[in-house]
Amino acid sequence: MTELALDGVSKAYDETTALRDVSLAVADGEFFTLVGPSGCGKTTTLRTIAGFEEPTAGEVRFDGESVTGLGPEARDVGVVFQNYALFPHMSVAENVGYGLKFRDSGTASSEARIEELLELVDLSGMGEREPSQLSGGQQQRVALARALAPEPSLLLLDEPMSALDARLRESLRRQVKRIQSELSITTVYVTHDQEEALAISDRLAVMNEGRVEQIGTPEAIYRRPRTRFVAEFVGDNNVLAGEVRGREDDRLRVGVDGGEFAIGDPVADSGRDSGDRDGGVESAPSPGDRIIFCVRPEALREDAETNRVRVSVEGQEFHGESVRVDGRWGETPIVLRLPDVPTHEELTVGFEPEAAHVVERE
Amino acid sequence: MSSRAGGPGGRRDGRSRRSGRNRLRGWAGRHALTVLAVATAAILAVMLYLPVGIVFSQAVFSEGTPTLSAFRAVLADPFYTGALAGVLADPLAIGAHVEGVLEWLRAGAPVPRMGLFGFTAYQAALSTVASVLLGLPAAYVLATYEFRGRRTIRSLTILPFVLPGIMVAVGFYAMFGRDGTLNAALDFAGLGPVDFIGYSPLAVVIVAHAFYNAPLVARVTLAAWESVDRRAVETARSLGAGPGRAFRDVVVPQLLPAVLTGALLTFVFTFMTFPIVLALGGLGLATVEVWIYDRISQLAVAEAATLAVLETVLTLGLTYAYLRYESAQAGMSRGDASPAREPLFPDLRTALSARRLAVLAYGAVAVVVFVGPMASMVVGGVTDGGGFTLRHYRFLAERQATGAAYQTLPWPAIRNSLLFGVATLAVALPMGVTISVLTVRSRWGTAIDALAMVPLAVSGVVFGIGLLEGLVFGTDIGGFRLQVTGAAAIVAAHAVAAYPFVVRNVSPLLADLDPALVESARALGASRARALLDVELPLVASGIVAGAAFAFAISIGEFSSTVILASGSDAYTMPVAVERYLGRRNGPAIAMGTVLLVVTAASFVVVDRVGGRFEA
Ligand SMILES: Nc1ncnc2c1ncn2[C@@H]1O[C@H](COP(=O)(O)OP(=O)(O)OP(=O)(O)O)[C@@H](O)[C@H]1O
Ligand SMILES: [Mg+2]
Repeated sequence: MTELALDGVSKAYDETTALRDVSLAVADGEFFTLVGPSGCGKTTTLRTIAGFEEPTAGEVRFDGESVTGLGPEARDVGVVFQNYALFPHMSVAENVGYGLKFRDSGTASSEARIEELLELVDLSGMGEREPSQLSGGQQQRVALARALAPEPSLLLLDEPMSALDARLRESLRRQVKRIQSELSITTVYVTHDQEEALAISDRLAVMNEGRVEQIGTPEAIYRRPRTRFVAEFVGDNNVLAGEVRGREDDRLRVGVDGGEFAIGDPVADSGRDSGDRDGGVESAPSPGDRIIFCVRPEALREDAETNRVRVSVEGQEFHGESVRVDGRWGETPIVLRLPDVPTHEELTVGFEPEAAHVVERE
Repeated sequence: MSSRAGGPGGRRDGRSRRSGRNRLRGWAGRHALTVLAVATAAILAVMLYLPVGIVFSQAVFSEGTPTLSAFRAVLADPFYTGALAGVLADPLAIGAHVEGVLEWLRAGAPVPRMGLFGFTAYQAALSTVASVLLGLPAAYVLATYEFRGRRTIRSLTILPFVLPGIMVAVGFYAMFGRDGTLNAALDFAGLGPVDFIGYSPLAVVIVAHAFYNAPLVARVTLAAWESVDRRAVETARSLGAGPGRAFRDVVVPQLLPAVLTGALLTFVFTFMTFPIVLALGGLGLATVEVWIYDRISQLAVAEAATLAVLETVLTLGLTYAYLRYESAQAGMSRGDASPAREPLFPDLRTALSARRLAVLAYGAVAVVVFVGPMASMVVGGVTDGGGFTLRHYRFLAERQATGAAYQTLPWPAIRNSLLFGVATLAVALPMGVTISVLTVRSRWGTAIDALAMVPLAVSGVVFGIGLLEGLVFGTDIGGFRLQVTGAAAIVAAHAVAAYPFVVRNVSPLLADLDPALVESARALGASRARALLDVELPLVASGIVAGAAFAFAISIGEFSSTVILASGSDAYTMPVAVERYLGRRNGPAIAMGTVLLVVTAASFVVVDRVGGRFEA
């Protein structure tokens, strides 16, 4: 029931510009994630949506209606912070019930409502505890329950899991996702963890230096990054720059350093599924153009027949289901993901032309 | 689409419903802080900036035209500026000045004439040295050794801050006076009596200043010492530094700023000293502040104002330097592994080591300086030359029963003190909390903080004159006559003197609060004021209580401006009564001082219980 839109939002502080012309639209009931490195403006975006900051330019709209000038208390949003921000002088139940005081519906039903929410986050019967008596994960669930209690039309979460250990983080994010889709509440989630962003979101926006680099489904972002930054930030990747030497059928011949690779035509590539044109370049590169393309580590296989290169092994990490190998092709660093620990100091790997994705023109 | 938990309730109708119904309350909620801020600013404008401004303007305006002649007259008068008067009279005659210096050197560099300002700085410098010398060993002992009563002594270092200066002066009378405990002890040994105060009033004043400020030095140094991260020292040791070297390289650099802070504050405080010098030294030992008071009593207001401006410029300059310095130090790390302490007297052999004996010797000096005067006062209140007596208290009772209206009666003094104390709380607490919120949460925090801390740099006497001139006599502002008199003026003066302590106690706690707490409350629907009430204030309650106890104690002990505002009226307070009793017969003053001690000690207990702080 609530759509969110940011329209050309910029935010300047005295010395820094935190946001530059950020536009995005979040559909009703969508789980939307902002991801990017530290300082890229994720928190600022979230705070602008919540009403803690006013944009220096542009507009935030809820259901098409501008909310400029509305204080956070009037925006009807639920906010969950990284450090939970539970009121330490109130019990769990009082925390969860705090927002209900400002609702029109009387206090009669609030006790039932509090219990209902505690149940929703698997904390039934914990209402009388003090926040300090709970573990980090429990505190975070109280914070979630507190934000949801007044039935906000928008749920905003700023790195809610980053203070928790990895395993807990995974189970908690599934719980958040489950609750979100149960309530089908429009949600904006902030994280600097690209893996988490891919795992949890309906769509995500990758941000860098105050700008939105790309918006899309996890799959589109992963498979068809549109900028070098996205290609390098999301997942492990081999990003190469080279010059187009020729076109044959739907292949490009690209010279990189001492080698030459055949890669799939970027225009055909971007049109391949769902009409989603987030990935790739708009028009076909012609010979002489310099382009940037990427090949995911898992696409580099020892049994591939095309585009074969010799890679010297420099380091490896065992990940259970696969082995991550850091190597070098000439001067160029290369990341591989192999099924087994390599037995030689040098390997020959190749990739299918269609596995390469043209990111942008250089 | 599945339904929301708890049923329907779209945002749009939710939001418009809310904004409609609560528009008025919403306005109040949104602007409550603004309203409080404006009220606080108004009180400050009328009760602080206006009076101080009037004093200043009297110094620079003569019959409506601006002039610096008053300054020139003061600066060029050897009575005020001593040997510098010639230079200040004609600063550009450099050749003559150089000649003067050479002549002075040829004459064997005799002690130059200091003048009033020189003497004031001189006694402040001596007092600072004495305070540092007496304070540092205390910090050392409290930081290094563990012994019974350590925590108590540590909290007692805050006590002087709530002890009225006039009462300390009385304590020193009770100890060093002709009939004091020291003479009683000498008498017992077949010596004396010695008129200590008559013999060297300056020495007694300096010890009294050290009584006040050594605990301050000790406290700020100790705080820095305790925040030294033990692991940093251990790292230095593991890198090859011996214990002495590690101390010098790691601990000392972290202590130095604190010691300097303590010394600077001591200098500023003792430069502005008033009741102690007035009571112990009189005009023979006049500092700037005492002289200003005397000028006021002689109705030489313009001259007093000129002196007041010069004094304020000097102390403000120092305070500014201090603040600059403090902010430069703000980034210093605070460790959480504080240094370990060793037992003071684990066994006999250790107890007889040179270091422990030095600690014992210091302890003896500390007992004489710190415990002596207060104990002497309590004892002096119930003794009389030979033995126990209730004569002094009986005198107070009789004075109350039979005293004439124009005389200073004990009960009105006590009643006024308590009433003014409570009234001060009622004004200073909201002001202080508002200023704290503004300094911590607003963009102009530092500027507001600096403006609001003016009372710490303006002396009580200056402020008293300003209130007298501006509010008690009345001022015309755009055809409106502004006049505040009697009790109201005194309460205003006390509130202005007291609120910085509320700010100093509340601000750090408020600054430590996670801003996300307030934001969470806002997002849940609370207005800014409501979030303050529901979240921030309960969480800084201990700071508010400590600030309140300080404010009360400051009000109870305030002397400088009260003595000016209460002159010729029956709005006198306990400290004023003490001063009025003093001199004729010390007994009643000492008895009154003891009552004052009891009241301030009670405030101290409250401050201590809630962990109050006065450090900036
Ligand atoms: N109140 C502020 N005043 C000045 N600059 C600010 C303020 N808040 C944020 N910034 C600056 O704006 C930029 C974006 O900050 P923001 O907190 O939005 O980043 P972020 O993406 O949330 O980073 P992180 O992952 O570290 O939380 C940063 O350069 C930051 O220094
Ligand atoms: Mg952030």
